[in-house]
Amino acid sequence: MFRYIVRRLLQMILVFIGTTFIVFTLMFAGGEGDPIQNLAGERPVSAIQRAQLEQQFHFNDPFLTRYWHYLTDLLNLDLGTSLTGRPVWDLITERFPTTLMLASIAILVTIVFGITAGVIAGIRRGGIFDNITLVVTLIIIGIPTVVLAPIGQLLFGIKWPIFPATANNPATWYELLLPGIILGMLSVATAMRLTRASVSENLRADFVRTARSKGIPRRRVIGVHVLRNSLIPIVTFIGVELGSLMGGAIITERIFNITGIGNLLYKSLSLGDAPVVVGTVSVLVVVFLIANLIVDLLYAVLDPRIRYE
Amino acid sequence: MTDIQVQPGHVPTGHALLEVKNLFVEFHTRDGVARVINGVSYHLNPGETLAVLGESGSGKSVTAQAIMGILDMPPAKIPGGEILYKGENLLTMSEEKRRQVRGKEISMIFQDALSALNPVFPVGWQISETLRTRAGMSKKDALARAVELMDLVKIPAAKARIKDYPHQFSGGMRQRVMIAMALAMDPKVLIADEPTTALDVTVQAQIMDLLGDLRRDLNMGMILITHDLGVVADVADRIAVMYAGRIVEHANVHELYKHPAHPYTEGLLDSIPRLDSKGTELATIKGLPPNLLRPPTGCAFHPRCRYAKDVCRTDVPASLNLGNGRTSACHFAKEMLDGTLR
Amino acid sequence: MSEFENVAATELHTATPGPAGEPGAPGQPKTLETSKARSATADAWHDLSRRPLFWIAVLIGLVALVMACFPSLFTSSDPTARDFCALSRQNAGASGQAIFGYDFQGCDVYTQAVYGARNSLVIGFFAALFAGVLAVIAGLTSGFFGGWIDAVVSRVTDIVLGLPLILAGLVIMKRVDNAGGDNTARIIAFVLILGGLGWTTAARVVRSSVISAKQQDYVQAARMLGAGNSRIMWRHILPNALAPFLVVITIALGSFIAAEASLSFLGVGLKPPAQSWGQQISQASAIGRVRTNPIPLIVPSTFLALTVLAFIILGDKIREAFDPKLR
Repeated sequence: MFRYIVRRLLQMILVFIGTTFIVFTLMFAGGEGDPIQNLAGERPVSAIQRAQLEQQFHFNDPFLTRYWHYLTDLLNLDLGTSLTGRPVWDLITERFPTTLMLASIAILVTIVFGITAGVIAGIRRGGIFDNITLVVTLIIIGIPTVVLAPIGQLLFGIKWPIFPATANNPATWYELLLPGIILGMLSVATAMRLTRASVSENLRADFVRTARSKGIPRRRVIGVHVLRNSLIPIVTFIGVELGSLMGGAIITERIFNITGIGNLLYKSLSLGDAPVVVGTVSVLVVVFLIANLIVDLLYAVLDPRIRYE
Repeated sequence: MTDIQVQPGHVPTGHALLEVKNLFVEFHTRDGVARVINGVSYHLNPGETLAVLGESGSGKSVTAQAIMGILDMPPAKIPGGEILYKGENLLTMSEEKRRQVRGKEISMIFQDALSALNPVFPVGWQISETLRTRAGMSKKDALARAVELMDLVKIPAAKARIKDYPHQFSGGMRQRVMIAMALAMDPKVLIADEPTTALDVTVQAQIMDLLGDLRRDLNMGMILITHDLGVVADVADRIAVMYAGRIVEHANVHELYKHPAHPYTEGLLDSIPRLDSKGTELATIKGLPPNLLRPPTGCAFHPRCRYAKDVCRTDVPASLNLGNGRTSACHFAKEMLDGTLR
Repeated sequence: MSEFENVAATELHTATPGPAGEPGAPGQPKTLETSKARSATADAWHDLSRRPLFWIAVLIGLVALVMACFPSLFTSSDPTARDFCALSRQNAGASGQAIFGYDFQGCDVYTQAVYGARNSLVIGFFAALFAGVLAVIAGLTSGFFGGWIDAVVSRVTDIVLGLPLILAGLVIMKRVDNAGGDNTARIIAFVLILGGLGWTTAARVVRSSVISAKQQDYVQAARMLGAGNSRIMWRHILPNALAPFLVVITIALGSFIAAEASLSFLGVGLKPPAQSWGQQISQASAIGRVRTNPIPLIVPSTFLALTVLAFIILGDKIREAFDPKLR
């Protein structure tokens, strides 16, 4: 277990350096003309802001030195100050709870509905429930969030106002329910298909035959032996899924006017507030990496074969 | 095929503990119906060892799984036959009652212990699972009993290894774990399905010895399923040879080895390597086992039989009673015993 | 990776071992001769051709393709015409001229959606092509040579997977905007960023098929007979990896179209006068506008969803057909 953790940590450090370098390069590399104006876009930059940006991003240093500054600042949680004069870290932490609530609803929906439906479909493979859910999930997978979110808002927030169509600041759990479900839809469908495949594979596994030959009740065979093994790929999936959840959250937060991280990113992009954009993207990438590391460790907890590799 | 009249070829002696009577099993596949068991009958007396011998696909494992009630239905279907345990037909029992029989009365160990054990639970947990869920033991007592069982199957340092996972054991030790698990509820019948096939030759002998000892000490009946005539000689009392879903010969070990009454058995015996036949080419049975989706007409073995006559291509041989509990499903069984078959 | 791809990937990898046999269709017994005579491809095709969903997806894909190439076949209006939008027609209802009416700026909703197809498909297609080339190069070299090459490529894959597509897309597209790029530059940027970040799943699929093909007896035999690396790769290994690769790329195409729409929706994609479904959805989805007239939201949403759906279903069905265990 210890060796596994060490190896994952080393890999994570490598990935961390690689990803932040790419993000940094994407934001600052190349481009002719004034780098500061490049960051800000068409927005006019005052002399004070110019000096502040100079100081924060070290434009006079060589590229790699600038990356080094960026990396150490990031590790010190020093994300600079926004063009509106507020520390970027404060802006992020202020909005983080809302986005976390939204993501929790999405993940909860994924786990509860996706896994339940997947287990039922996996047990009754080829049955009516299985065939219907297969088609329905395929359709859900095929509809991007950018369609699902506004249409969902139109149907359940405006036409039949079961849920609030927009959220206040800060948002309540109830206001986040519809956007959370919409955000979770995609993962529900994928989780369901994955669970189904995994359950029906494990149902035919030799160890299930053994468990049945021990005379254990069928419910226990499925609930303990099959499910425990099927959880392994599902946990991995949820980690990977966080990345697309972030993309989806930016869209969902915009549609439902939720003041979360995605909204912050979107607003600062359109306002040309470079420090906020750089800070938010970096933090989100780091959150994604940490989430994946947690999933990796969870994976080892669930699968002893990995643990003692 | 189902209309063939198959005589119950076996003659139970005394009170059979387990009796398979004229069993049929078919698999419904996309390419048609495969009739994998065609009227199999055998019995097992308390405390004896019956070896069921045959190539892969002969139906020996399917019969065992039908006894255990762990066949996947569908695709499998049991259109006919009875499986009597202590006189009660397992096939007509309620699923709940049948479950009670599994593990407690009849228990089974499988070929590949690595895949047959659940990879994500410690072995102690797996051995004690039935004790906790079925015998109502406390977690602590069940684990203590698991250690005893592991000692019984001679796993060294059992107490220290109780929290280890299957992949941390060697092949032989894993098979012992499986045996310990099968013995947890003190079953009366142990079905061992190719218990040594996945193991090294030296370990094979150890496991066979262990099974023999355990059967004697615990006074269980044992059905030993194998494709290897070599491993059964020392352990088995009787042998049933299966081919294409039928029992082609049934006899006690010594008679079968001395005078096979079916050409297939003879072929199997000839293909055992012997120390005294050094230098001569090892005989093999030519051809492949039949495709059960479209079995041959007449005797299923005729395409591979060196004695095959016209009658073998047209008529399915009935199981002939050769006396003394011995049967053979060959048209020329008597001639084989006389040594006059050419 | 982007929204959809892990579906295909995970299911490809966890492909389930088939049951001993599933209930055959009674009444149509298939003889062994015919099923053996058909090759795997022919068998897959036979299976596909009987699936209605597959044909529906093909039909939608074809319609989208024709719409992208010849939008004037579908509408007589021209969105570049000076009088295309007129505030006097704001939110006007359906008419013979505009079958879905007009949006809040008085533009013909249907014609805009029709003209949106081209950019979506061009971006989706070329991004998939780019991703495919990268995936084949990365997957083939790492799977075939193994060792340190494999290790390096795997780490690069990890790093790229660590970048959520939409986040990276936002940053890049914003920079293109700031640098004063026009719509052509945006399209090129889209292709590069979507392809450049979207190749990982396909690369893993190629890599694992190459590794399994490498261990096949016939490849070993070819090697012993003295066939060179490149010959083994092109003649023996690549054909083996083709089917799963095409499946993942088809699904990726759908997801790239969706990603383009998402980024355009977020305001960093294509800008007027270029037409894009994402941008149309973005325009129409402002809450006040939806309340007065939801049609301008529904029409491009439907076009987008149907197109993405078509490619995802296409990929899914081909995968099922090529993987008999999933039938």
